[in-house]
Amino acid sequence: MFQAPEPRDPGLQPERTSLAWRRTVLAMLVADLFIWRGWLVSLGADSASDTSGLSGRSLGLGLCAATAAVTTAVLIICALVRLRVLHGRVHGGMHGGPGRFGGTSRQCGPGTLVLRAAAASVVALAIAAAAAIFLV
Amino acid sequence: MREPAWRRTGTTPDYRFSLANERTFLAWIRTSLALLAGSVAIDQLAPQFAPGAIRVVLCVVLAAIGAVLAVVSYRRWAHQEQAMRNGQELSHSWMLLAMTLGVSLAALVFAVLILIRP
Repeated sequence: MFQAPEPRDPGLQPERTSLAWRRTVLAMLVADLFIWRGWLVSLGADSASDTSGLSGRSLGLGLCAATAAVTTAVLIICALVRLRVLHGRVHGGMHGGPGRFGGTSRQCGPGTLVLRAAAASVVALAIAAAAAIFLV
Repeated sequence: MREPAWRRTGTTPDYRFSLANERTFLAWIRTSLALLAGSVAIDQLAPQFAPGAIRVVLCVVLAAIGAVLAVVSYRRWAHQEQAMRNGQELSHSWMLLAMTLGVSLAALVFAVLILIRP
């Protein structure tokens, strides 16, 4: 008896998910740019003033800018971990034939650690943003 | 870190549903990031927009909503996955209503501040 093959995923789920991760990284970079801009503006004001050295404001904003860089690095690592899984195992499963859908489904979902790290990086960025708002 | 115990209950959902749940989480995370970017941008690019203290308070409130939203989006992802694993109904989301009210209120406050600006 010929058995109809399981339909191939028409929704391009792994591709959509990997694009969603890329968009999320881009959205974080937009928030970063404003925090970094505040720091650079403050550095510019320091160099224009007569007093030598950095002001406390610039140091504080520098700390915010560094925090933003670290949180972005964490989010990029999360995205890379997911992209590797989505483009590796899931596509491998697809090319391996319809029967392997069940076999790959167990591995391609996100781990709690990745999503927790992503959410935590956004919370840390929010703290840096609030500090930058106070300092600017 | 080990996976929490609930990840071993029930049956693993179809990978398409898992990934849809992950994308919903990411969409909420982006909403949270948009609030953060907006709060810092208003503070830096529109300094005459409102008296200093009011502007700082409004922007910090927006950033705080962004932080809460990031935590809530993770919890929502976990609840939805638990429901899918155990074949339960997906829980009604109060996040949609809360965010609608929050963003509407913010827009109203900003509109009033722009109108009464000297």
